[in-house]
Amino acid sequence: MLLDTAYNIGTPEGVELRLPVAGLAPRSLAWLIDALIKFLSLTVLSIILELLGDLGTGIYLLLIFGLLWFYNVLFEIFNHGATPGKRALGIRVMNANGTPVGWSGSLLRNLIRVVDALPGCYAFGCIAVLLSRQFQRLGDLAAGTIVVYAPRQTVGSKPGDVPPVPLKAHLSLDEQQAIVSFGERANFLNAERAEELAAILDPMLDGVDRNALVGHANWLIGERKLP
Amino acid sequence: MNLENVTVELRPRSEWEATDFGARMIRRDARAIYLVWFAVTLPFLALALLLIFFTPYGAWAMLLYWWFEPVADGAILRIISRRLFGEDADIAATLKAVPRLAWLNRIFLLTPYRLHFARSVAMPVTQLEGLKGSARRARSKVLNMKIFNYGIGITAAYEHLVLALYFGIMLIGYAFIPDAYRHTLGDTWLELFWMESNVAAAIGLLTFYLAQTALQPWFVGAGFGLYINCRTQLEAWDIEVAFRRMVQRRAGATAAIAVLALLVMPLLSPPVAIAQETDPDVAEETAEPDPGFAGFWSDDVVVPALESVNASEALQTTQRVEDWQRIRTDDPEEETSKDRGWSRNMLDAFFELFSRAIEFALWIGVAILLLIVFLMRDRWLPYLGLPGATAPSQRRIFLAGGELTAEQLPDDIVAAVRSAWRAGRKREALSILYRGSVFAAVREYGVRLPRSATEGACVGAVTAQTDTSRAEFFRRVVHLWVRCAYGNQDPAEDAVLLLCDEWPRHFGASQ
Repeated sequence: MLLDTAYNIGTPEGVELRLPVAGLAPRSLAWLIDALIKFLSLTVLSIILELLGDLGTGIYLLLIFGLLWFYNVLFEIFNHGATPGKRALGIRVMNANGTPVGWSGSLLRNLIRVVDALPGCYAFGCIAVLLSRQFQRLGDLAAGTIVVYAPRQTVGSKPGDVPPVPLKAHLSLDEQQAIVSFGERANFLNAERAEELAAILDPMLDGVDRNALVGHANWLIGERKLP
Repeated sequence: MNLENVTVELRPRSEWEATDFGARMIRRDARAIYLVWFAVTLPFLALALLLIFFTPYGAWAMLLYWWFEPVADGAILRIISRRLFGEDADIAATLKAVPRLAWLNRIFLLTPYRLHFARSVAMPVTQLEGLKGSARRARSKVLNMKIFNYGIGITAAYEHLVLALYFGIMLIGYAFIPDAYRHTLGDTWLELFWMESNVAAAIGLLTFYLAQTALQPWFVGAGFGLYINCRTQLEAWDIEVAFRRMVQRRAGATAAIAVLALLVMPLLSPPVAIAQETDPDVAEETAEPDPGFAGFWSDDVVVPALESVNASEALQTTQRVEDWQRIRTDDPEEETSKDRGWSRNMLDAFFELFSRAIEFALWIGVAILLLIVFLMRDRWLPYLGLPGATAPSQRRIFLAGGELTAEQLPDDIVAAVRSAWRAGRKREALSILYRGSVFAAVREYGVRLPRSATEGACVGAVTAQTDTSRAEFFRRVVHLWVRCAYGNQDPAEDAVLLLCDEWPRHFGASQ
């Protein structure tokens, strides 16, 4: 089997889900952003609450408590599994079976954050992410959660302006996707490379070149006449 | 580079995912990579340690190690780049190549390029593409447009994580230093970092080395992942792999079709001729069936053909499956016990017996439970506050140390306490006072004690079952007794004599 970053799970309905799990670098940078947000908001609040005297100090202490324990939990529950830092890095938390993370999972993984942070500086969590198969820290392992890349909204690029050319060969779905993908990306490849790629298919499609292949791609995505 | 042998799933990934992809490659060959890592870095580490212990230039040791560390990165890069295309992770060959790789990567070793912010993505260009000078810079520019920022990102992430691990390992070590020695190091753990001795410098260096050992291969892998992903996108490696597979599959399939055609040819000879004549474009665009086909796919031709196929030996796979099924009888009179046969009756009898046995066992359980409750009545009866079944004068007293009887106590408690105290037997005096109080509380004031009552249990029972002033007095007695008996603290003479004076008022009704 080829090495891949995705973690595949089969649902009871027989659907294969491909979850791209996120590793150490994006996760630690997301943590850094969250830490900065917490630190800055506490600093600003401390200045404002200082005006209230002892009452302000009390409220401030409560806020520290709330922010430390529930910042991650609340964002993960109500913001599709992503704290602001995770959102910035395009990652989010979900259960290992692909369902959205719930209260128990989120609370557990964030309580055990204390263990991951041992002995200061997140040494345990860092090692756990490196060693575990799905890049899970100890809290993730306990709560059965993973951190995955959120699917990105991509603007669908279309194959170039070449009239559709019917394809005579019978192709499997993967093969059709490869040709469509070539059509979509042909403009971003340099010309020699595009011809080189098209020439690979020569034994199969006689005399095919870059333009013909883009034409096939257009035909495969259902174009019959270019506007 | 032969993309047909590629051992990973190539596809255009997001940049962060590409760094994880590198991590997967490191993990796959972790054994070989770490062997090479140790083989390359340990000599430099040893050199740095020599510098610390045997020369006056110990301060340069860390710098020496740090500056030569990319030599190991080059070796790691060689392993994962070769494994990418299916070659073996040949450790011996890699070690042999280390000097050559170090020379290739020389600008990252002893020049300011060691501080290159995106070194992990710049090194593959130098080492794997073997470019130099302006060609290298031009090539780097192309790649950098896309991934330079991410290269900086992983450098930031991993360098900080190395620092975090460095502190983490230091803290663990500090936690294991016994308290007795800890103060010799300084007031706080931070002092560890300011110490100026050879040993401290060596510890710092080794800790840094451990932290780097844990993370550096992953850093190299992340950069390599970014580099490969960038080239996959620029040069459409994934499409090339898919196209090559397509052609390969076709070559295999063509052979299979040729064999099949030979077998089926006699049956299908007319359509082959027709198919060769029809233009596929026309066939695709016309929805109504072609008249040539219509004649052929008629039942007279197809049905016998299908039947002959069905009759072939390969499809004769009938199977006999046997199963038990319950036979239902509609006639209710057949369900009477007489007609059900002796086996059914036996079964019923057995279940009858079985359920009786379970019922019996349950009743025994209930009886045992009741017996336990009854035997433990001394524990829970006092808390019910019911009028006692036995008169207080008949009640036996069980303290934690054993039974307390009237014979153990002197007739005049107060006098006995005073004489014992004067004789200097303080413990005995307090013991008499305590036990006398308990005895009087039970016999005179009807206090119920749990079995094997401890001092605390006595205080609880007396507090709950007598008036407050008596309970308060009893508490003072017990307090002194406990301090003397268990804490070995002699009570003040005043306190004891005061208790003796007050005793008749609270517990002295009988005397």
